[in-house]
Amino acid sequence: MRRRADPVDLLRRALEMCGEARLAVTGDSMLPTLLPGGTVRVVRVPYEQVREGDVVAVTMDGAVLVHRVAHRQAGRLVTRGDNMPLLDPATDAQAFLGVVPGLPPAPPSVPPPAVVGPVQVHLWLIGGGGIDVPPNWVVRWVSHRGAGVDAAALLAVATGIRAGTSIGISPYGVTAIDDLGPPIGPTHLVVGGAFGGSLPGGNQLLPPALVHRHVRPGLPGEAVGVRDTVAALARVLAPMEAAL
Amino acid sequence: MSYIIPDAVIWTDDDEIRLYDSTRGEFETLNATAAAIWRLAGEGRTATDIATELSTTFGAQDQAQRHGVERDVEEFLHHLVDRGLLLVRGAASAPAS
Repeated sequence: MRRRADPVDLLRRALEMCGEARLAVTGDSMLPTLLPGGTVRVVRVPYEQVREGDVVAVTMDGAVLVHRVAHRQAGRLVTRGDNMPLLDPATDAQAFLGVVPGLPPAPPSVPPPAVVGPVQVHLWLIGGGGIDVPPNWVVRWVSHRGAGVDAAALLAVATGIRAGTSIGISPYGVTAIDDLGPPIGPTHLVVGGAFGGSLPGGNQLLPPALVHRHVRPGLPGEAVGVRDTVAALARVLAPMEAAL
Repeated sequence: MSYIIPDAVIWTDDDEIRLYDSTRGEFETLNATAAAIWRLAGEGRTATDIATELSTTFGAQDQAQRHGVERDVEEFLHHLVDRGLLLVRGAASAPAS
């Protein structure tokens, strides 16, 4: 039986036949660059010509995503919506449809709010244990349920990190750990959890908006264990704390 | 009058007909009757030809039913032309959006 053509098939054919096509913009992931309700012009270009900063159309999970290229990595594209706190999973040439020309550069990121108070690093470890932590850090362990946390644990984290700057560490963080600046005031590091939406069964991943910033311990999308993540954080932050 | 399908309209004919207007970024799926009209229009058939064939296919039994089929066919073809999904053969093409 022939597979029913889906919108992605039709769009791909239009790009092959006409070299360009229009797509309706839905969602707010590319605000303020793209407004929902309008359309964008997608132009077919060679995959090798795509550069960081280009806005591209790629397929992901059967749908079309129009996001900005944050990195080119080993022949794959790592994208992010201008209004999204986390990177998208990397895509390859098979998923690439075209570029959206004529758009302004990504808007500047908004810095976290200024926090007044003595510098103190708080480490929130989700599901971790038996890990070496700098002696001056305050450590709190959060129980996990599979890939997520339950509602009580999420409430505890959300309440606890309210006073200070909060940083989520996950493979899809926008900033690399090495680019973390010195801690300012109370600084909460949330490690070991995955950020996303709800899971079946009532547990949930950590909401991306839970924290002020998202940092990754390795290459975009690279899974790094909790032990190595904490070691990297200590390596980067300890000298800065000592200098304060 | 007869019709042509613009180059910018991409369509597939699987279990159903799905259209994509690449100049407007709009997708549409046609039901069975609409799909039948679309296929015949794409072959260059006139509205009258299409109505006659559909009347036969769907068993229109009297003049009133055949007239109703013809009216529905003309209305749908007009809708497709308005949306830019069909062009009237020999008419100026719609300006690019």
